[in-house]
Amino acid sequence: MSKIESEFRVISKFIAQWALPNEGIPLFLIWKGKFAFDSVEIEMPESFVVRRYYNINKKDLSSSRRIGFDELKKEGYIGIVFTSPMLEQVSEKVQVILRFVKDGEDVYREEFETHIIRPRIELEIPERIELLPNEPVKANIGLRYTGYGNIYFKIIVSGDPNKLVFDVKDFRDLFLVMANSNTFKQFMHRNCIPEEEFLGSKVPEDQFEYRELLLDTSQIGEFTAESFFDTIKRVMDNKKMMEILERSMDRSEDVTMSLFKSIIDFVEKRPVESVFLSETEIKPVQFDEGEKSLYVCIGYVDDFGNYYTQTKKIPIIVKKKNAITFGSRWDERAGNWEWLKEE
Amino acid sequence: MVEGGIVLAKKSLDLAESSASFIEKIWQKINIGEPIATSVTYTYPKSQMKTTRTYRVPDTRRSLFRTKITLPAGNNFQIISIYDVDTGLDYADISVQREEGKVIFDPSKLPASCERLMITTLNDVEKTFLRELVDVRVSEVASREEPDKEKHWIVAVIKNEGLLKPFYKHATLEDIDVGVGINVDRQYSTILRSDNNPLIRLMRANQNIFTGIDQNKRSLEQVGKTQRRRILQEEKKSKEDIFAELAHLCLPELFKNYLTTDNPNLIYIDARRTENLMTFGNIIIPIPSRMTVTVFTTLRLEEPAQKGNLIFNRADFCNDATKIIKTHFKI
Repeated sequence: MSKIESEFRVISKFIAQWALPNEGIPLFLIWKGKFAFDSVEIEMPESFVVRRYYNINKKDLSSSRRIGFDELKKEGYIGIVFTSPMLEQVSEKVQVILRFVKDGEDVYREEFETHIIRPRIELEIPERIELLPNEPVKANIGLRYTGYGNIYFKIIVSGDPNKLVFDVKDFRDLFLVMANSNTFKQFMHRNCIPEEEFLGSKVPEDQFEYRELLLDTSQIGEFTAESFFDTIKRVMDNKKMMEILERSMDRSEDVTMSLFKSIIDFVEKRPVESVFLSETEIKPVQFDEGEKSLYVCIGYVDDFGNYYTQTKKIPIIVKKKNAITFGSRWDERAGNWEWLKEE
Repeated sequence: MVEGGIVLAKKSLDLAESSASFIEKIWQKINIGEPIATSVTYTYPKSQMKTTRTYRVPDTRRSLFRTKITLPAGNNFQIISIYDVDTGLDYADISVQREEGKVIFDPSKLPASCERLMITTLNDVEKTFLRELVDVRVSEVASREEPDKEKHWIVAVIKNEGLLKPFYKHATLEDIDVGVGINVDRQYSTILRSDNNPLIRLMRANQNIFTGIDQNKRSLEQVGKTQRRRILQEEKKSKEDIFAELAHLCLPELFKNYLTTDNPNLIYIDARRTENLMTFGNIIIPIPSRMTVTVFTTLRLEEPAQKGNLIFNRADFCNDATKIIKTHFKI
């Protein structure tokens, strides 16, 4: 080892210090000085996969962890991109080692360290629920955000495990998508309506009759992306749209309160900093008498698009036909980044 | 699906190779001596490549100087300079002519005595080709080891050296752009949820009004005008102003005040609003929910990778936004 040290010098090395599962983690090493080695062995956990090589002409993909000297396009530079599998805990320290091997012995090694991170929701549900006659029952679902990065969240509560379907309660979200769509902007443009005027604060919730609008122009039965866009297209060509837009603008003389309401709504949709809810309200679930089960299913997506899901079952004893309403309680224990400071 | 991906990758590689060989064919035609130095610079924002070759002109080749060389003028190809290295004089003006569809190079116009010539050409290249040369990556999650700052790692590396190496001793990939997304609405979430926030204090103080609306779905008109006036300093500024002012923070020239990089080779240049606007409840506000920040960097064959961090000083941004909110609402 000492023989090469005099000629050999690392110019630059890099590993992404953190990444989500399945996100590409780049690593490179640039060095100066020639020294003899037969191959570079990449040491990393078994479940990790090398996705890309830089400056390497891979002849044999089956030996993805071994780079032969003759596979280097140019001396002095090695780069790879690898990915990790899904992770159970919120963070895991991972070591990656590049071993330069000559005649079966290490002549040089370079160690890298990265952290695989993820966000997680911890779900706290009542152990069991008893539905008594004449007593309203409210079940509280505790949700705690832990870990790293943003999540986009959906919660579904259902008495029937086969019916864990996202229920489009109203068309509000559709409207937002619609208002942001290019077709809509073109429509505004064609009709000489300045976009700002509409997209500004002038369209408070209760005054804009998009429900009426959508229901008027189509029968929304089965809800699919196709049917939604079909509906939008139909709406765009409808002259009634203009009238309704005008009417809602007339009636928007005072939006102060609706502004406040909207801010509350925004805060509700961001119950903790890293969470974005697509639904803030959970519908009550009806039960007939007997011993039943309630399924609470949460699903969320991280910044990379990894999908995490969890379903919990609550036993329920129903003394009399009744409904359960739900409340949710959030708190946040974001992961610390102390390990970054250590390096 | 996988097969489709491979076909697509192969196509873009083919395109890349044909783009690289275009200029190579031109150099083969020019062939007026022995190249002693070759270099190429790709300029990413303009999708252009500039190649320079220095020739030693042996006496045996001088006979070739009598023949005009016709070159294709596709891809906006042009010869921008022909220097006699020893005298420093540029002969491009007198020896190069542009006709419809072709560039004609007449070496007989060059001085008979010249020994070394440096020729520089310029042409457009496909964006796909430029993308094929490099790989840029940015972290999906911004780190928070300091609560006031959000940090994204950035890395740019030469991906396909093979496309450069056979032809050029020196290659520079100039102003490679790396896009980094910064969440603006997340910052507003912090501002609005902070305990010191005037809006939140206000909402707590007026809880009846708000919960009343929420639970009973009372119409907005039922809330007394005096109460509304008390909350919003109507006489001072209108609501449109507050949004205009908040949106102002996201103008590129102001937004860049909140950004730094920790590597002098990663030069932050531009910020752009994404199409998506922020939504507060059902109200769409003309504030971008996300900004795309462009960081530029340069790679060379001898420096094939750049790394660093883009740092967003979120505390400063949140302070400035809070200041604006405070001037609009009574506390």
